Amino acid sequence: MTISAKALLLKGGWTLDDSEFKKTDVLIDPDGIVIALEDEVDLSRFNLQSTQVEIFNVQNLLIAPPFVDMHCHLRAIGLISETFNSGIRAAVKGGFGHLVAMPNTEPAMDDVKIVDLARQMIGQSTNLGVEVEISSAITLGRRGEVVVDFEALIADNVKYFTDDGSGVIDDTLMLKAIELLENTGCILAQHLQGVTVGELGVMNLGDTSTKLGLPGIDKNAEVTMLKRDIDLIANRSVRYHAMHISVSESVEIIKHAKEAGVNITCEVTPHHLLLDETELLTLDPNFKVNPPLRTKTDVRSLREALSEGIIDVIATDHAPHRSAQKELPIEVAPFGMLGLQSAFSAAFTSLISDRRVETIADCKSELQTIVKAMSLNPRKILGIKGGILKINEKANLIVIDPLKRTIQTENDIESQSINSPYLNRPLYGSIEHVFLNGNQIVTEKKLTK
Amino acid sequence: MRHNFIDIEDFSAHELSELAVRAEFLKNTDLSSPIFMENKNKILALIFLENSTRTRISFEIAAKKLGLTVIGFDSEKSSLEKGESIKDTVLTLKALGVNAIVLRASSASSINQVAKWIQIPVINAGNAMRSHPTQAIGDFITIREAIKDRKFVDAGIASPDEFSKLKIGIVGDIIHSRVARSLGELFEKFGASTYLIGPRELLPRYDIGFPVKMITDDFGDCIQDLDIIIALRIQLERLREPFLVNPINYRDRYGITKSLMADAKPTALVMHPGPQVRDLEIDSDIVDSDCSLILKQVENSIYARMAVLSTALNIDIEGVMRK
Ligand SMILES: [Zn+2]
Repeated sequence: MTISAKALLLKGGWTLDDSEFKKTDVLIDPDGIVIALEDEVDLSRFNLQSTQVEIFNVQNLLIAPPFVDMHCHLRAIGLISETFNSGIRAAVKGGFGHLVAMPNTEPAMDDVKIVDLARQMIGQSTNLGVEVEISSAITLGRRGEVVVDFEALIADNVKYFTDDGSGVIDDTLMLKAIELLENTGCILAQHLQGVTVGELGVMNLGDTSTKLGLPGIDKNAEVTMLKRDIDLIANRSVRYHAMHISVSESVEIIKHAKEAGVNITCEVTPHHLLLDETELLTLDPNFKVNPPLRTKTDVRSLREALSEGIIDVIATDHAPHRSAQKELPIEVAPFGMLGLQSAFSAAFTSLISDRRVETIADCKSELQTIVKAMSLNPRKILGIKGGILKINEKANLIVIDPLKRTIQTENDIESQSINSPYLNRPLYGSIEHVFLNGNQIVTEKKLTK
Repeated sequence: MRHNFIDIEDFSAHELSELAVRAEFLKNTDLSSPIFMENKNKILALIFLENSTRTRISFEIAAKKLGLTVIGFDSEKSSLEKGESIKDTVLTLKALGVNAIVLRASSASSINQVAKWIQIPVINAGNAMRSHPTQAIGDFITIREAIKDRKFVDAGIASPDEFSKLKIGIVGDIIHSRVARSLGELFEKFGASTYLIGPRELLPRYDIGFPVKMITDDFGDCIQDLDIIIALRIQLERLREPFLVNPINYRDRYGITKSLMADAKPTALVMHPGPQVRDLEIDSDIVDSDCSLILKQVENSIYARMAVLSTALNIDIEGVMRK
């Protein structure tokens, strides 16, 4: 399929390698193939008249590989808060080209039949070029009692296992999952929560919960399970991934584990990087999320750990919920917030925090950190190729304006739900253009189809 | 002044003083003035999603004294709070022409959510463990009155302007108490010192959101300093482990008894937001003694609520005051 009869030139943008910005013009032929990557493309060298080329001025914008989200809830199966269609549209507007869909659907994705059904539904939904990877539960029905048939699921090409929404609390069961996933290359991802959902409070246990008189969630629910898991995986060749870590203690524990050579990766969400527990002072259930928004100190440690590379990945934990659910009293409203569409802006706004940023050069290291955490590292962990622009390959890239300030409104939201914590909050950075498989899917922030 | 009344911390000391002055005026005025007759076109909905006879009756009397038309919505049984229907209910009430809503809820967030959904005044009659602002205003008036009655002259406090000199102890189940939170926020606004006394498991482990002069599980640490002792109800229904507090022990250590008062300043006064458990939180002979302000609190809660309601509904009390 062709994007247009014309070739396309992205002119004046910057690409980012490990150390430096490089001014790069990108020339894409009518079949979506990148045919030139150079400082200043000379069209005549390609026998192109200017009338045959559509030129996008991307001066001072960043050209980056599409993002990969290792953690999103696309619902769709048994749940109406999102469809694969709407989730994919939200994702692509957020600059994502690859998603790992979480298995806490209804029923849970815990066997080959339901995984295949999900893939079929994805096959029938909008084809914007976004890859959606289905993950499986670790235990049947995510009940934490019996492990799934790993062998059958692995044979069916499932590579990612998690009981997300709950942690695997039972030690013996967790050990069994570790043993069964050793040397498979699969990822065993833990939602760190050592208590059942019924025992959870509403928000972080601390000053704000005490002021509001709301039941708190102790950070030890996360920390204790993380410590246990690290004990269990020591000296085992399993690929363990700590999901959405939220407190500074977790950062310390993971730092030490990595130094000791434990095979562990971890992720943080954009909301844990940007927002803290004081958002709950509004008592708005849109800020109720699990793990909960933590303290300002935790937010600072997460930011630092991300910049230092202790945290590998930014993952959204995109969790749509219908308004009727989020309009329940905060004590009973479900946990979760939207994340796909504003992931980059939220994370970037967090990293630059109060710094004055006037040119793209002012935020080079922040952009580098984000491109690593949202694209390069998750590609490595999931084994997805791409991430480097190459001549003679289909254009897979996103164009980011880091200096543009945006304010999300309900109308901008592509999801089936509107539980965004960022509504009416100015964020820095926007995804301007998205190319997937040679097709321009997003042009000037708008979906082309 | 803004029309919603949700948390004490939303208001300045000046605004809170104005409310107190308004309440004090209402207490001493003839309510047969024609201005109150005009108010029957104004409809107030009392929505009580949690059982509370005292607060409900107090609001109802306040509204009737103002001449308002009151419709009640008592519903322990109703699943309002659990279902999606609270939004529909308040939108319906608004569409039916209700002018203001008083809400008591077992959820901390419902009052804030309702305020967002409807643009008519909402008044908080107690939300979970968060706030009970009209109770705090009533207690504020009661304390001001005691000052004016020269109860604290020997303690060096002769006028309500000297409120900041007061040392006030709140005793008992602090952690589960919306009253403690609203009072603490109010005392902060006026610079009074707040002491929190109670069994360790019922005291806050984190910052409770207002300045605390002392937090202790030993009454002996501060009893001799306190001008006012406010005993709280033990909220058995909110305790995770019902037998956490041994009653005999509790009365010995935290009950307001004669032997405790023997150690207090001779001018010290005692309050309780009710309903009190006699001979546990506070002894009967103290409740009925001269140092008790408990019945005044009940009476003043009505004028506090009249002040809040009349402000929310733009009833021109100042106009009456000028006449
Ligand atoms: Zn999770």
